[in-house]
Amino acid sequence: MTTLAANDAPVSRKPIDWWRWAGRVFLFLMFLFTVLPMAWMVLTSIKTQFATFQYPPQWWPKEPTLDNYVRLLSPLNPTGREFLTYLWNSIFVSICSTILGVAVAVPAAYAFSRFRFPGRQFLFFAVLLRNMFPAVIFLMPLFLLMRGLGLINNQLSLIITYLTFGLPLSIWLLKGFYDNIPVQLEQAARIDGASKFQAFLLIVMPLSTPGIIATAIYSFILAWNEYVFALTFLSSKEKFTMPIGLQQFFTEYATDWPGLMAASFIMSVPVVVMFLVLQRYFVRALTEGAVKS
Amino acid sequence: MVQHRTDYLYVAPALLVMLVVIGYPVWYTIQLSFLKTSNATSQADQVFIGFENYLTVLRSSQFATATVNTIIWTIASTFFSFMIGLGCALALNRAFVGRAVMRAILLIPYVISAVAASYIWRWLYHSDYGVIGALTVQLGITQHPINFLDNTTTVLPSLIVVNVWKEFSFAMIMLMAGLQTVPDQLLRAAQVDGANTWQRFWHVTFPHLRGVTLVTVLLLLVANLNSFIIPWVMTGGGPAGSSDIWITNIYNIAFNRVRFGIASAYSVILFIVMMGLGYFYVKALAGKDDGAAIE
Repeated sequence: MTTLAANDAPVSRKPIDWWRWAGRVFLFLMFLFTVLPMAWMVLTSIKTQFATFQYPPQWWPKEPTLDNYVRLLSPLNPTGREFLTYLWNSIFVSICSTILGVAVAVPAAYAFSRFRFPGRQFLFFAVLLRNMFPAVIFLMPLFLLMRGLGLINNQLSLIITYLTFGLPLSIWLLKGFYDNIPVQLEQAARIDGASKFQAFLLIVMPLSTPGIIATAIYSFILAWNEYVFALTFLSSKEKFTMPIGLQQFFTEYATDWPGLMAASFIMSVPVVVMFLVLQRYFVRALTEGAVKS
Repeated sequence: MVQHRTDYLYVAPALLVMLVVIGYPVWYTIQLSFLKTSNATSQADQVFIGFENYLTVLRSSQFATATVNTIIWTIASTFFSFMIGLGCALALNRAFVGRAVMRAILLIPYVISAVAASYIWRWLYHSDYGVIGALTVQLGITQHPINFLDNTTTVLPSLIVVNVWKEFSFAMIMLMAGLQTVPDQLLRAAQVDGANTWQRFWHVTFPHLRGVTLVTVLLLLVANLNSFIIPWVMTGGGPAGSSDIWITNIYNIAFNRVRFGIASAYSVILFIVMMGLGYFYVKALAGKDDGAAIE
Protein backbone atom coordinates (compact mmCIF):
# COMPACT_ATOMS: atom_id res chain seq x y z
CA MET A 1 0.00 0.00 0.00
CA THR A 2 2.68 2.45 0.97
CA THR A 3 4.73 1.83 -2.17
CA LEU A 4 1.68 2.41 -4.31
CA ALA A 5 1.02 5.77 -2.72
CA ALA A 6 4.66 6.72 -3.09
CA ASN A 7 4.53 5.87 -6.78
CA ASP A 8 1.44 7.95 -7.31
CA ALA A 9 2.79 11.07 -5.72
CA PRO A 10 5.29 12.25 -8.37
CA VAL A 11 2.75 11.74 -11.15
CA SER A 12 -0.07 13.83 -9.80
CA ARG A 13 2.02 16.41 -7.96
CA LYS A 14 4.96 17.97 -9.73
CA PRO A 15 7.31 20.49 -8.09
CA ILE A 16 6.76 23.34 -10.58
CA ASP A 17 4.63 23.02 -13.65
CA TRP A 18 6.60 25.15 -16.13
CA TRP A 19 4.02 24.74 -18.84
CA ARG A 20 1.34 26.15 -16.60
CA TRP A 21 3.50 29.16 -15.81
CA ALA A 22 4.42 29.62 -19.44
CA GLY A 23 0.70 29.56 -20.22
CA ARG A 24 -0.06 32.15 -17.59
CA VAL A 25 2.70 34.49 -18.74
CA PHE A 26 1.62 34.12 -22.35
CA LEU A 27 -1.98 34.78 -21.43
CA PHE A 28 -0.99 37.87 -19.49
CA LEU A 29 1.03 39.22 -22.44
CA MET A 30 -1.89 38.63 -24.78
CA PHE A 31 -4.15 40.35 -22.29
CA LEU A 32 -1.91 43.43 -22.45
CA PHE A 33 -1.75 43.23 -26.24
CA THR A 34 -5.56 43.17 -26.35
CA VAL A 35 -6.34 45.74 -23.73
CA LEU A 36 -3.67 48.44 -24.11
CA PRO A 37 -4.77 49.70 -27.54
CA MET A 38 -8.35 49.97 -26.29
CA ALA A 39 -7.22 51.66 -23.10
CA TRP A 40 -5.30 54.19 -25.17
CA MET A 41 -8.45 54.87 -27.19
CA VAL A 42 -10.37 55.64 -24.00
CA LEU A 43 -7.55 57.75 -22.54
CA THR A 44 -7.24 59.75 -25.75
CA SER A 45 -10.97 60.32 -25.89
CA ILE A 46 -10.90 62.12 -22.54
CA LYS A 47 -8.02 64.41 -23.48
CA THR A 48 -8.24 67.86 -24.94
CA GLN A 49 -7.18 68.40 -28.53
CA PHE A 50 -4.15 70.26 -27.19
CA ALA A 51 -3.11 67.42 -24.89
CA THR A 52 -3.13 64.83 -27.68
CA PHE A 53 -0.58 66.79 -29.70
CA GLN A 54 2.18 66.64 -27.13
CA TYR A 55 5.42 64.81 -27.23
CA PRO A 56 6.18 62.83 -25.16
CA PRO A 57 2.50 61.97 -24.75
CA GLN A 58 0.64 62.51 -21.49
CA TRP A 59 0.42 58.93 -20.29
CA TRP A 60 -2.45 59.90 -18.07
CA PRO A 61 -4.54 62.92 -19.12
CA LYS A 62 -3.65 65.92 -16.95
CA GLU A 63 -7.08 67.46 -17.37
CA PRO A 64 -9.51 64.65 -18.11
CA THR A 65 -12.58 65.97 -19.85
CA LEU A 66 -15.80 64.57 -21.26
CA ASP A 67 -16.05 67.44 -23.74
CA ASN A 68 -15.45 65.18 -26.72
CA TYR A 69 -18.43 63.03 -25.82
CA VAL A 70 -20.63 66.01 -25.09
CA ARG A 71 -19.67 67.55 -28.42
CA LEU A 72 -20.57 64.35 -30.29
CA LEU A 73 -23.85 63.67 -28.57
CA SER A 74 -25.30 67.14 -28.23
CA PRO A 75 -27.73 68.12 -31.00
CA LEU A 76 -26.87 71.78 -30.35
CA ASN A 77 -23.71 71.96 -32.41
CA PRO A 78 -23.03 70.90 -36.03
CA THR A 79 -20.60 68.08 -35.14
CA GLY A 80 -23.13 66.61 -32.74
CA ARG A 81 -25.99 66.86 -35.22
CA GLU A 82 -23.89 65.13 -37.86
CA PHE A 83 -22.75 62.38 -35.53
CA LEU A 84 -26.25 61.75 -34.20
CA THR A 85 -27.46 61.35 -37.78
CA TYR A 86 -24.82 58.67 -38.42
CA LEU A 87 -25.72 56.98 -35.16
CA TRP A 88 -29.41 56.94 -36.02
CA ASN A 89 -28.71 55.68 -39.55
CA SER A 90 -26.60 52.85 -38.19
CA ILE A 91 -29.31 51.86 -35.70
CA PHE A 92 -32.01 52.00 -38.37
CA VAL A 93 -30.11 49.97 -40.95
CA SER A 94 -28.90 47.37 -38.44
CA ILE A 95 -32.32 46.80 -36.87
CA CYS A 96 -34.13 46.55 -40.20
CA SER A 97 -31.66 44.07 -41.66
CA THR A 98 -31.65 42.04 -38.45
CA ILE A 99 -35.44 41.68 -38.35
CA LEU A 100 -35.68 40.81 -42.02
CA GLY A 101 -32.70 38.47 -41.78
CA VAL A 102 -34.21 36.47 -38.95
CA ALA A 103 -37.58 36.31 -40.69
CA VAL A 104 -35.95 34.79 -43.77
CA ALA A 105 -33.46 32.53 -41.97
CA VAL A 106 -35.90 30.87 -39.56
CA PRO A 107 -38.10 29.06 -42.08
CA ALA A 108 -35.12 28.16 -44.27
CA ALA A 109 -33.17 26.70 -41.36
CA TYR A 110 -36.24 24.77 -40.23
CA ALA A 111 -36.70 23.31 -43.67
CA PHE A 112 -33.04 22.31 -43.89
CA SER A 113 -33.30 20.62 -40.52
CA ARG A 114 -36.59 18.79 -41.00
CA PHE A 115 -37.61 18.23 -44.58
CA ARG A 116 -36.07 15.94 -47.09
CA PHE A 117 -36.37 17.43 -50.52
CA PRO A 118 -34.37 16.88 -53.68
CA GLY A 119 -31.39 19.17 -53.95
CA ARG A 120 -31.40 19.85 -50.20
CA GLN A 121 -27.76 18.89 -49.82
CA PHE A 122 -26.72 21.01 -52.74
CA LEU A 123 -28.69 24.01 -51.50
CA PHE A 124 -27.10 23.74 -48.13
CA PHE A 125 -23.58 23.77 -49.45
CA ALA A 126 -24.51 26.67 -51.69
CA VAL A 127 -25.57 28.51 -48.56
CA LEU A 128 -22.28 27.74 -46.85
CA LEU A 129 -20.19 28.64 -49.85
CA ARG A 130 -21.52 32.16 -49.68
CA ASN A 131 -19.11 32.60 -46.77
CA MET A 132 -16.23 32.08 -49.13
CA PHE A 133 -17.02 34.79 -51.64
CA PRO A 134 -15.20 38.09 -51.30
CA ALA A 135 -17.43 41.11 -50.92
CA VAL A 136 -15.70 42.82 -53.84
CA ILE A 137 -17.17 40.28 -56.26
CA PHE A 138 -20.60 41.47 -55.23
CA LEU A 139 -19.67 45.09 -55.00
CA MET A 140 -19.50 46.13 -58.63
CA PRO A 141 -22.53 44.26 -59.98
CA LEU A 142 -24.57 45.18 -56.91
CA PHE A 143 -23.55 48.79 -57.33
CA LEU A 144 -24.75 48.69 -60.93
CA LEU A 145 -27.90 46.80 -59.94
CA MET A 146 -28.73 49.24 -57.17
CA ARG A 147 -28.09 52.13 -59.50
CA GLY A 148 -30.42 50.54 -62.02
CA LEU A 149 -33.07 50.23 -59.31
CA GLY A 150 -32.45 53.81 -58.21
CA LEU A 151 -31.39 52.68 -54.75
CA ILE A 152 -27.95 54.27 -54.72
CA ASN A 153 -27.60 56.59 -51.76
CA ASN A 154 -30.62 54.87 -50.27
CA GLN A 155 -30.34 52.83 -47.10
CA LEU A 156 -32.66 50.20 -48.52
CA SER A 157 -29.79 48.99 -50.69
CA LEU A 158 -27.73 48.40 -47.55
CA ILE A 159 -30.56 46.64 -45.75
CA ILE A 160 -31.04 44.20 -48.64
CA THR A 161 -27.32 43.53 -48.84
CA TYR A 162 -26.77 43.04 -45.11
CA LEU A 163 -29.77 40.77 -44.94
CA THR A 164 -28.03 38.30 -47.23
CA PHE A 165 -24.68 38.73 -45.55
CA GLY A 166 -25.71 37.09 -42.32
CA LEU A 167 -27.99 34.56 -43.96
CA PRO A 168 -25.62 31.62 -44.51
CA LEU A 169 -24.30 31.56 -40.97
CA SER A 170 -27.73 32.37 -39.52
CA ILE A 171 -29.24 29.40 -41.32
CA TRP A 172 -26.36 27.14 -40.32
CA LEU A 173 -26.65 28.16 -36.68
CA LEU A 174 -30.43 27.93 -36.49
CA LYS A 175 -30.37 24.54 -38.16
CA GLY A 176 -28.17 23.36 -35.28
CA PHE A 177 -30.83 24.50 -32.82
CA TYR A 178 -33.67 22.83 -34.73
CA ASP A 179 -31.68 19.61 -34.99
CA ASN A 180 -31.66 19.48 -31.20
CA ILE A 181 -35.42 19.85 -30.85
CA PRO A 182 -37.00 16.38 -30.92
CA VAL A 183 -39.19 15.70 -33.94
CA GLN A 184 -41.55 13.74 -31.69
CA LEU A 185 -42.89 17.04 -30.32
CA GLU A 186 -44.10 18.03 -33.74
CA GLN A 187 -45.35 14.55 -34.51
CA ALA A 188 -47.44 14.68 -31.36
CA ALA A 189 -48.83 18.03 -32.41
CA ARG A 190 -49.60 16.67 -35.89
CA ILE A 191 -51.47 13.75 -34.38
CA ASP A 192 -53.47 16.22 -32.31
CA GLY A 193 -54.53 17.84 -35.56
CA ALA A 194 -52.08 20.67 -36.06
CA SER A 195 -50.92 21.38 -39.58
CA LYS A 196 -47.25 21.22 -40.51
CA PHE A 197 -47.07 24.99 -40.34
CA GLN A 198 -48.89 25.20 -37.01
CA ALA A 199 -46.52 22.65 -35.52
CA PHE A 200 -43.64 24.81 -36.67
CA LEU A 201 -45.12 28.08 -35.47
CA LEU A 202 -46.55 26.98 -32.12
CA ILE A 203 -44.19 24.22 -31.01
CA VAL A 204 -40.80 24.68 -32.58
CA MET A 205 -40.56 28.45 -32.76
CA PRO A 206 -40.93 29.11 -29.01
CA LEU A 207 -38.37 26.40 -28.24
CA SER A 208 -35.80 27.90 -30.57
CA THR A 209 -35.87 31.38 -29.01
CA PRO A 210 -32.22 31.20 -27.83
CA GLY A 211 -31.15 30.34 -31.34
CA ILE A 212 -33.16 33.20 -32.75
CA ILE A 213 -31.59 35.61 -30.25
CA ALA A 214 -28.10 34.41 -31.15
CA THR A 215 -28.85 34.79 -34.83
CA ALA A 216 -30.25 38.27 -34.30
CA ILE A 217 -27.16 39.47 -32.41
CA TYR A 218 -24.93 38.03 -35.05
CA SER A 219 -26.81 39.81 -37.84
CA PHE A 220 -26.93 43.05 -35.88
CA ILE A 221 -23.19 43.15 -35.20
CA LEU A 222 -22.46 42.30 -38.82
CA ALA A 223 -24.62 45.15 -40.08
CA TRP A 224 -23.43 47.59 -37.42
CA ASN A 225 -19.77 47.08 -38.35
CA GLU A 226 -20.13 46.87 -42.12
CA TYR A 227 -18.03 49.29 -44.12
CA VAL A 228 -17.41 48.33 -47.75
CA PHE A 229 -20.96 48.43 -49.07
CA ALA A 230 -21.84 51.54 -47.11
CA LEU A 231 -18.73 53.23 -48.52
CA THR A 232 -19.73 52.34 -52.06
CA PHE A 233 -23.51 52.77 -51.97
CA LEU A 234 -23.89 55.95 -49.94
CA SER A 235 -22.76 59.30 -51.20
CA SER A 236 -24.41 62.02 -49.13
CA LYS A 237 -23.55 62.81 -45.55
CA GLU A 238 -27.07 62.62 -44.18
CA LYS A 239 -27.30 58.95 -45.29
CA PHE A 240 -23.94 57.83 -43.84
CA THR A 241 -23.75 55.08 -41.26
CA MET A 242 -21.19 55.41 -38.48
CA PRO A 243 -18.28 53.41 -39.93
CA ILE A 244 -18.06 55.74 -42.93
CA GLY A 245 -19.16 58.79 -40.97
CA LEU A 246 -15.95 58.62 -38.94
CA GLN A 247 -14.07 59.81 -42.02
CA GLN A 248 -15.45 63.25 -41.32
CA PHE A 249 -12.96 63.63 -38.49
CA PHE A 250 -10.18 63.93 -41.03
CA THR A 251 -10.24 67.44 -42.35
CA GLU A 252 -7.79 69.17 -44.62
CA TYR A 253 -6.08 70.93 -41.75
CA ALA A 254 -6.00 68.60 -38.81
CA THR A 255 -7.37 65.35 -37.55
CA ASP A 256 -9.57 65.53 -34.50
CA TRP A 257 -8.01 62.50 -32.81
CA PRO A 258 -9.76 62.81 -29.41
CA GLY A 259 -13.09 63.21 -31.21
CA LEU A 260 -12.34 60.24 -33.44
CA MET A 261 -11.41 58.08 -30.45
CA ALA A 262 -14.57 59.13 -28.61
CA ALA A 263 -16.62 58.26 -31.70
CA SER A 264 -14.86 54.89 -32.03
CA PHE A 265 -15.65 54.25 -28.40
CA ILE A 266 -19.32 55.12 -28.81
CA MET A 267 -19.48 52.91 -31.87
CA SER A 268 -17.93 49.96 -30.00
CA VAL A 269 -20.07 50.18 -26.86
CA PRO A 270 -23.32 48.64 -28.20
CA VAL A 271 -21.65 45.64 -29.79
CA VAL A 272 -19.39 44.99 -26.82
CA VAL A 273 -22.28 45.23 -24.36
CA MET A 274 -24.45 43.01 -26.53
CA PHE A 275 -21.61 40.55 -26.83
CA LEU A 276 -20.87 40.49 -23.10
CA VAL A 277 -24.50 40.01 -22.12
CA LEU A 278 -25.14 37.30 -24.66
CA GLN A 279 -21.64 35.88 -24.86
CA ARG A 280 -22.69 32.29 -24.57
CA TYR A 281 -24.89 32.50 -27.65
CA PHE A 282 -22.36 34.47 -29.60
CA VAL A 283 -19.57 31.99 -28.99
CA ARG A 284 -21.93 29.24 -29.93
CA ALA A 285 -22.83 31.10 -33.11
CA LEU A 286 -19.20 31.19 -34.12
CA THR A 287 -18.18 27.67 -33.22
CA GLU A 288 -21.39 25.91 -34.21
CA GLY A 289 -20.76 23.75 -37.20
CA ALA A 290 -17.00 23.75 -36.95
CA VAL A 291 -17.14 21.63 -33.83
CA LYS A 292 -19.58 18.79 -33.69
CA SER A 293 -21.35 18.57 -30.37
CA MET B 1 -43.88 14.55 -53.91
CA VAL B 2 -46.81 16.89 -53.42
CA GLN B 3 -45.54 17.40 -49.87
CA HIS B 4 -42.21 18.61 -51.23
CA ARG B 5 -43.73 21.52 -53.03
CA THR B 6 -44.85 23.21 -49.81
CA ASP B 7 -41.50 22.42 -48.22
CA TYR B 8 -39.79 24.62 -50.76
CA LEU B 9 -41.88 27.55 -49.55
CA TYR B 10 -39.80 27.68 -46.37
CA VAL B 11 -36.58 28.02 -48.31
CA ALA B 12 -37.99 30.23 -51.06
CA PRO B 13 -37.42 33.65 -49.42
CA ALA B 14 -33.82 32.80 -48.55
CA LEU B 15 -33.21 31.46 -52.03
CA LEU B 16 -34.79 34.44 -53.71
CA VAL B 17 -32.76 36.96 -51.75
CA MET B 18 -29.56 35.06 -52.32
CA LEU B 19 -30.25 34.60 -56.01
CA VAL B 20 -30.66 38.36 -56.43
CA VAL B 21 -27.83 39.45 -54.17
CA ILE B 22 -25.40 36.59 -54.80
CA GLY B 23 -26.24 34.62 -57.92
CA TYR B 24 -26.84 37.59 -60.17
CA PRO B 25 -23.67 39.48 -59.15
CA VAL B 26 -21.44 36.47 -59.74
CA TRP B 27 -22.91 35.94 -63.17
CA TYR B 28 -22.71 39.63 -64.00
CA THR B 29 -19.10 39.90 -62.82
CA ILE B 30 -18.10 37.05 -65.09
CA GLN B 31 -19.93 38.74 -67.96
CA LEU B 32 -18.32 42.12 -67.27
CA SER B 33 -14.87 40.57 -67.19
CA PHE B 34 -15.09 39.89 -70.94
CA LEU B 35 -16.31 43.38 -71.84
CA LYS B 36 -14.54 46.60 -72.52
CA THR B 37 -16.24 49.12 -70.26
CA SER B 38 -15.04 52.57 -71.14
CA ASN B 39 -16.74 54.05 -68.10
CA ALA B 40 -19.43 53.05 -65.69
CA THR B 41 -22.15 55.39 -66.85
CA SER B 42 -22.63 54.17 -70.42
CA GLN B 43 -23.47 50.52 -70.50
CA ALA B 44 -24.41 50.68 -74.17
CA ASP B 45 -20.94 50.81 -75.67
CA GLN B 46 -19.60 47.72 -73.95
CA VAL B 47 -17.66 45.62 -76.40
CA PHE B 48 -16.78 41.95 -76.11
CA ILE B 49 -13.01 41.67 -76.00
CA GLY B 50 -12.41 38.08 -74.90
CA PHE B 51 -9.65 37.59 -72.39
CA GLU B 52 -8.14 41.04 -72.95
CA ASN B 53 -9.04 42.20 -69.42
CA TYR B 54 -7.46 39.14 -67.88
CA LEU B 55 -4.25 39.76 -69.79
CA THR B 56 -4.24 43.40 -68.71
CA VAL B 57 -4.52 42.34 -65.08
CA LEU B 58 -1.94 39.59 -65.25
CA ARG B 59 0.56 41.79 -67.08
CA SER B 60 0.31 44.79 -64.77
CA SER B 61 3.11 45.38 -62.30
CA GLN B 62 0.53 46.32 -59.67
CA PHE B 63 -0.84 42.82 -59.87
CA ALA B 64 2.59 41.32 -59.22
CA THR B 65 3.18 43.55 -56.18
CA ALA B 66 -0.32 42.98 -54.87
CA THR B 67 0.03 39.22 -55.28
CA VAL B 68 3.22 39.11 -53.23
CA ASN B 69 1.62 41.35 -50.59
CA THR B 70 -1.55 39.25 -50.56
CA ILE B 71 0.42 36.06 -50.02
CA ILE B 72 2.47 37.59 -47.19
CA TRP B 73 -0.59 39.21 -45.64
CA THR B 74 -2.76 36.09 -45.81
CA ILE B 75 -0.20 33.56 -44.66
CA ALA B 76 1.40 35.68 -41.92
CA SER B 77 -1.97 36.80 -40.52
CA THR B 78 -3.34 33.28 -40.55
CA PHE B 79 -0.21 31.75 -39.03
CA PHE B 80 0.14 34.22 -36.16
CA SER B 81 -3.60 34.36 -35.43
CA PHE B 82 -3.73 30.62 -35.28
CA MET B 83 -0.63 30.14 -33.12
CA ILE B 84 -1.60 32.87 -30.66
CA GLY B 85 -5.17 31.58 -30.63
CA LEU B 86 -3.93 28.06 -29.90
CA GLY B 87 -1.67 29.31 -27.09
CA CYS B 88 -4.51 31.21 -25.47
CA ALA B 89 -6.95 28.32 -25.90
CA LEU B 90 -4.55 25.90 -24.21
CA ALA B 91 -3.80 28.35 -21.40
CA LEU B 92 -7.53 28.99 -20.91
CA ASN B 93 -8.34 25.31 -20.96
CA ARG B 94 -7.28 25.03 -17.30
CA ALA B 95 -9.71 26.19 -14.68
CA PHE B 96 -8.64 29.33 -12.81
CA VAL B 97 -10.30 32.32 -11.23
CA GLY B 98 -11.31 34.90 -13.80
CA ARG B 99 -11.11 32.55 -16.74
CA ALA B 100 -14.49 33.58 -18.18
CA VAL B 101 -13.60 37.27 -17.78
CA MET B 102 -10.29 36.73 -19.53
CA ARG B 103 -11.94 34.96 -22.43
CA ALA B 104 -14.50 37.73 -22.80
CA ILE B 105 -11.84 40.46 -22.78
CA LEU B 106 -9.71 38.70 -25.36
CA LEU B 107 -12.76 38.44 -27.61
CA ILE B 108 -13.54 42.15 -27.60
CA PRO B 109 -11.26 43.08 -30.53
CA TYR B 110 -13.03 40.45 -32.59
CA VAL B 111 -16.48 41.98 -32.04
CA ILE B 112 -15.67 45.67 -32.39
CA SER B 113 -15.80 47.15 -35.84
CA ALA B 114 -12.71 46.84 -38.01
CA VAL B 115 -13.09 50.52 -38.82
CA ALA B 116 -12.78 51.51 -35.16
CA ALA B 117 -9.84 49.10 -34.79
CA SER B 118 -8.12 50.66 -37.79
CA TYR B 119 -8.50 54.17 -36.41
CA ILE B 120 -7.27 53.12 -32.96
CA TRP B 121 -4.15 51.60 -34.47
CA ARG B 122 -3.61 54.48 -36.84
CA TRP B 123 -3.46 56.68 -33.78
CA LEU B 124 -1.13 54.27 -31.97
CA TYR B 125 1.16 54.21 -35.02
CA HIS B 126 0.97 57.99 -35.60
CA SER B 127 4.31 59.23 -36.93
CA ASP B 128 4.61 62.21 -34.54
CA TYR B 129 2.29 61.65 -31.61
CA GLY B 130 1.84 57.87 -31.73
CA VAL B 131 2.20 56.13 -28.41
CA ILE B 132 4.20 53.20 -29.82
CA GLY B 133 6.77 55.49 -31.38
CA ALA B 134 7.03 57.46 -28.13
CA LEU B 135 7.44 54.28 -26.11
CA THR B 136 10.26 52.91 -28.24
CA VAL B 137 12.13 56.21 -27.86
CA GLN B 138 11.53 56.45 -24.12
CA LEU B 139 12.73 52.90 -23.60
CA GLY B 140 15.81 53.67 -25.66
CA ILE B 141 15.05 51.15 -28.42
CA THR B 142 15.12 53.71 -31.21
CA GLN B 143 16.43 57.25 -31.59
CA HIS B 144 13.37 58.64 -33.32
CA PRO B 145 9.78 57.47 -33.43
CA ILE B 146 9.39 54.86 -36.16
CA ASN B 147 7.18 55.96 -38.99
CA PHE B 148 5.30 52.69 -39.20
CA LEU B 149 2.73 53.44 -41.85
CA ASP B 150 4.65 55.70 -44.24
CA ASN B 151 7.57 53.39 -44.72
CA THR B 152 7.44 50.76 -47.46
CA THR B 153 9.22 48.13 -45.37
CA THR B 154 7.33 48.50 -42.08
CA VAL B 155 3.82 49.13 -43.37
CA LEU B 156 2.79 45.56 -44.19
CA PRO B 157 4.06 44.00 -40.92
CA SER B 158 2.36 46.84 -39.01
CA LEU B 159 -0.94 46.09 -40.70
CA ILE B 160 -0.53 42.37 -40.04
CA VAL B 161 -0.16 43.13 -36.31
CA VAL B 162 -3.50 44.96 -36.38
CA ASN B 163 -5.12 42.11 -38.24
CA VAL B 164 -3.78 39.54 -35.77
CA TRP B 165 -4.96 41.73 -32.89
CA LYS B 166 -8.41 41.73 -34.41
CA GLU B 167 -8.83 38.07 -35.23
CA PHE B 168 -6.62 35.84 -33.06
CA SER B 169 -9.46 35.39 -30.57
CA PHE B 170 -11.57 33.86 -33.32
CA ALA B 171 -9.02 31.05 -33.59
CA MET B 172 -8.98 30.98 -29.79
CA ILE B 173 -12.69 30.25 -29.30
CA MET B 174 -12.80 27.78 -32.16
CA LEU B 175 -9.92 25.86 -30.58
CA MET B 176 -11.40 26.18 -27.08
CA ALA B 177 -14.54 24.53 -28.39
CA GLY B 178 -12.35 21.90 -29.99
CA LEU B 179 -10.49 21.25 -26.74
CA GLN B 180 -13.81 20.36 -25.10
CA THR B 181 -13.97 17.30 -27.34
CA VAL B 182 -10.65 15.89 -26.08
CA PRO B 183 -11.58 13.09 -23.68
CA ASP B 184 -10.22 13.64 -20.17
CA GLN B 185 -9.72 9.92 -19.60
CA LEU B 186 -7.27 9.73 -22.48
CA LEU B 187 -5.21 12.60 -21.10
CA ARG B 188 -5.20 11.06 -17.65
CA ALA B 189 -4.30 7.65 -19.05
CA ALA B 190 -1.38 9.20 -20.92
CA GLN B 191 -0.27 10.92 -17.73
CA VAL B 192 -0.37 7.68 -15.79
CA ASP B 193 1.70 6.07 -18.55
CA GLY B 194 4.34 8.72 -17.94
CA ALA B 195 3.75 11.06 -20.90
CA ASN B 196 4.95 14.60 -20.18
CA THR B 197 2.96 17.74 -20.97
CA TRP B 198 4.36 18.12 -24.46
CA GLN B 199 3.82 14.45 -25.32
CA ARG B 200 0.26 14.64 -24.03
CA PHE B 201 -0.38 17.66 -26.22
CA TRP B 202 1.24 16.26 -29.32
CA HIS B 203 -0.07 12.69 -29.14
CA VAL B 204 -3.47 13.12 -27.49
CA THR B 205 -4.75 16.69 -27.70
CA PHE B 206 -3.52 17.74 -31.11
CA PRO B 207 -4.87 14.74 -33.07
CA HIS B 208 -8.29 15.51 -31.60
CA LEU B 209 -8.04 19.09 -32.78
CA ARG B 210 -7.26 18.19 -36.38
CA GLY B 211 -10.77 18.77 -37.68
CA VAL B 212 -11.21 22.09 -35.89
CA THR B 213 -7.74 23.19 -36.94
CA LEU B 214 -8.52 22.53 -40.56
CA VAL B 215 -11.77 24.48 -40.49
CA THR B 216 -10.28 27.34 -38.46
CA VAL B 217 -7.26 27.73 -40.73
CA LEU B 218 -9.46 27.67 -43.81
CA LEU B 219 -11.85 30.26 -42.38
CA LEU B 220 -8.91 32.48 -41.41
CA LEU B 221 -7.36 32.13 -44.86
CA VAL B 222 -10.64 33.09 -46.48
CA ALA B 223 -11.22 36.01 -44.12
CA ASN B 224 -7.70 37.32 -44.70
CA LEU B 225 -7.89 36.97 -48.46
CA ASN B 226 -11.12 38.95 -48.29
CA SER B 227 -10.06 41.58 -45.80
CA PHE B 228 -10.38 45.10 -47.03
CA ILE B 229 -11.10 47.44 -44.15
CA ILE B 230 -7.78 47.39 -42.28
CA PRO B 231 -5.51 48.10 -45.27
CA TRP B 232 -8.03 50.45 -46.82
CA VAL B 233 -8.72 52.60 -43.77
CA MET B 234 -5.17 52.59 -42.47
CA THR B 235 -3.13 53.16 -45.61
CA GLY B 236 -5.35 52.86 -48.68
CA GLY B 237 -2.76 50.43 -50.09
CA GLY B 238 0.07 52.95 -49.82
CA PRO B 239 2.74 54.13 -49.64
CA ALA B 240 3.53 53.40 -53.29
CA GLY B 241 1.38 50.26 -53.31
CA SER B 242 3.50 48.60 -50.62
CA SER B 243 0.43 47.54 -48.63
CA ASP B 244 -1.81 46.99 -51.63
CA ILE B 245 -3.45 43.58 -51.57
CA TRP B 246 -5.76 42.10 -54.22
CA ILE B 247 -8.95 43.43 -52.70
CA THR B 248 -7.77 47.02 -52.24
CA ASN B 249 -6.29 46.90 -55.72
CA ILE B 250 -9.60 45.73 -57.20
CA TYR B 251 -11.50 48.41 -55.31
CA ASN B 252 -9.16 51.09 -56.64
CA ILE B 253 -9.47 49.89 -60.21
CA ALA B 254 -13.25 49.67 -60.00
CA PHE B 255 -14.25 52.74 -58.05
CA ASN B 256 -11.39 55.19 -58.40
CA ARG B 257 -10.31 54.46 -61.95
CA VAL B 258 -13.79 53.24 -62.97
CA ARG B 259 -12.54 50.27 -64.99
CA PHE B 260 -15.26 47.78 -64.18
CA GLY B 261 -14.21 45.33 -66.88
CA ILE B 262 -10.65 44.99 -65.65
CA ALA B 263 -11.73 44.94 -62.02
CA SER B 264 -14.21 42.17 -62.84
CA ALA B 265 -11.54 40.06 -64.51
CA TYR B 266 -9.41 40.61 -61.41
CA SER B 267 -12.33 39.54 -59.20
CA VAL B 268 -12.85 36.39 -61.23
CA ILE B 269 -9.19 35.46 -60.69
CA LEU B 270 -9.70 35.97 -56.96
CA PHE B 271 -12.93 34.03 -57.18
CA ILE B 272 -11.15 31.04 -58.71
CA VAL B 273 -8.63 31.03 -55.86
CA MET B 274 -11.50 31.20 -53.36
CA MET B 275 -13.30 28.33 -55.04
CA GLY B 276 -10.17 26.25 -54.61
CA LEU B 277 -10.22 26.98 -50.91
CA GLY B 278 -13.99 26.45 -50.83
CA TYR B 279 -13.51 22.99 -52.22
CA PHE B 280 -11.23 22.10 -49.30
CA TYR B 281 -13.63 23.73 -46.86
CA VAL B 282 -16.56 21.62 -47.98
CA LYS B 283 -14.35 18.55 -48.02
CA ALA B 284 -13.17 19.30 -44.49
CA LEU B 285 -16.76 19.68 -43.26
CA ALA B 286 -17.91 16.56 -45.08
CA GLY B 287 -14.89 14.61 -43.85
CA LYS B 288 -15.73 15.54 -40.27
CA ASP B 289 -19.25 14.19 -40.68
CA ASP B 290 -17.84 10.85 -41.80
CA GLY B 291 -15.48 10.83 -38.84
CA ALA B 292 -18.35 11.41 -36.43
CA ALA B 293 -20.34 8.60 -38.02
CA ILE B 294 -17.50 6.15 -37.57
CA GLU B 295 -16.89 6.98 -33.93
